Amino acid sequence: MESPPSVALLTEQIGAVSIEVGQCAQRLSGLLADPESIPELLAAWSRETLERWPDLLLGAGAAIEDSSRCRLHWWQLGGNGLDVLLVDVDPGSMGYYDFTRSKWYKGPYQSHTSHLTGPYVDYLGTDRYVATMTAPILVGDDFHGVAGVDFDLSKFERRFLAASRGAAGHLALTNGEGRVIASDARGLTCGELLDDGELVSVVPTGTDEAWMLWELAD
Amino acid sequence: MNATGVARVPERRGLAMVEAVDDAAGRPGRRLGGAIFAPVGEVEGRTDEIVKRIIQGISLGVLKPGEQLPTENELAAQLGVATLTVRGALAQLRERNILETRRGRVGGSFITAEPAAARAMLRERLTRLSPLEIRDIGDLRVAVSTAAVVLAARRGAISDFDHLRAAAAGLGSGLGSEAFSLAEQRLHLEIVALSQSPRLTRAEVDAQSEMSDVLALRRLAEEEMSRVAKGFRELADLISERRGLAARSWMEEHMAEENAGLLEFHRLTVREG
Repeated sequence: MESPPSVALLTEQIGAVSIEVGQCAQRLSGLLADPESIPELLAAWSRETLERWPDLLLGAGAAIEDSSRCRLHWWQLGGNGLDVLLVDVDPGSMGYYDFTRSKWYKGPYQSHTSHLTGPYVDYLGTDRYVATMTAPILVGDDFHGVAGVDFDLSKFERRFLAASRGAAGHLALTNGEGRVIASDARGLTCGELLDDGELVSVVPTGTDEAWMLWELAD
Repeated sequence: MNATGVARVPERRGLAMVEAVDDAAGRPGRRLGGAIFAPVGEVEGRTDEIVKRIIQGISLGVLKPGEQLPTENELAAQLGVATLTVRGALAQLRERNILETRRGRVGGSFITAEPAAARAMLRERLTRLSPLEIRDIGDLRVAVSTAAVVLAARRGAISDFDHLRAAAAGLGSGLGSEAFSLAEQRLHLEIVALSQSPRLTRAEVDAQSEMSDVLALRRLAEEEMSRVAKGFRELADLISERRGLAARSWMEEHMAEENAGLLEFHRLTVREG
């Protein structure tokens, strides 16, 4: 089966988001010498990006290393504009979030390429079910942090269901490990693992992980 | 504070805080001491929450005797509460000799209490909890955790299992009781999150926060830590082998033991007064 055009349109947007995230990381690498300018630029970028894909994204921002520290600058779009996400940075606390050890940070750190994490329950950060796309901020071969976005998977599911409406069979979009991101098949929801299906297409995400579109028997 | 003098109350999402920013750059407020000074979420008992965080901070050694706290206005801005609320909390802490306020050019609020004194205060707070409250939170955790491990065994991916096994291997009696407790709670939460259910995860987060005093005070013997650590390694294997029902039985037994232990710790603390 061919991937229905409306589904292809949705998956192409993932690539477009990835290009945007990569460009942001590149711009940040040019600004590292002037750290004072970063919060303002990042806030503006987050707002633009979140407003450009309001039906896909939950949050946007960056985590930037500065000598021995790493600061998280992350925003979500609320009713009255940008909300900043504050995470717990106290190592003695139960909610301590050492995000430098999370997959979305370590992925680009290890591979020096863009990375896609999830779907996962982001209980230390946004407290939502998300997938996170991050791109490394590089100066030559030196890693200085990541820029990224969170996909809101409830929004993503709604988009997927609307897009797959006309398809002949049942479809499921999964990550590289077979975890379902969205599906219109019976009994298969976001977060489950897919155990059987016929590969329709590999969705290039612009990262080191491809997502996959499957056709399922009824 | 905004123009009307009413403090902004940031929305609490899980363990993080989402705070509205009005500055054009979308800049978060200046933060000095991590969670102790992270925004206070609940509308009720904000003064109590601030008192509790500062006492817990001292008991854990994060805030040290002689250390100066940020000013009332700075604290109010960081915590997202009114200056008056901060003033009330500082007054309570002064009354209990946890800090002192010095006037003048080098004035401000300084920590005076030693960690041991802060621990005594946490014990006092703990005795105000009833056994029913502790048992009830425990019952909820049994329900959440047993349901979550079944889902974790079904929905976990291979990379999750690798990570889970590594985290379980890192749990050991060598950590010392306090760090072990923290690591155990974090691992427990990580397992619940593998269920891929935000609601189950949130329920576990809330239950753990409610128990934070008991968990901060409880001391585990070395044998107990070794046994629990070994148990978690077995659990990690069961989940990785997708043996959901066996994992569920393990969790049910573990939680029954943990809850009994917490109740007994509470009972002894109350008896010792």
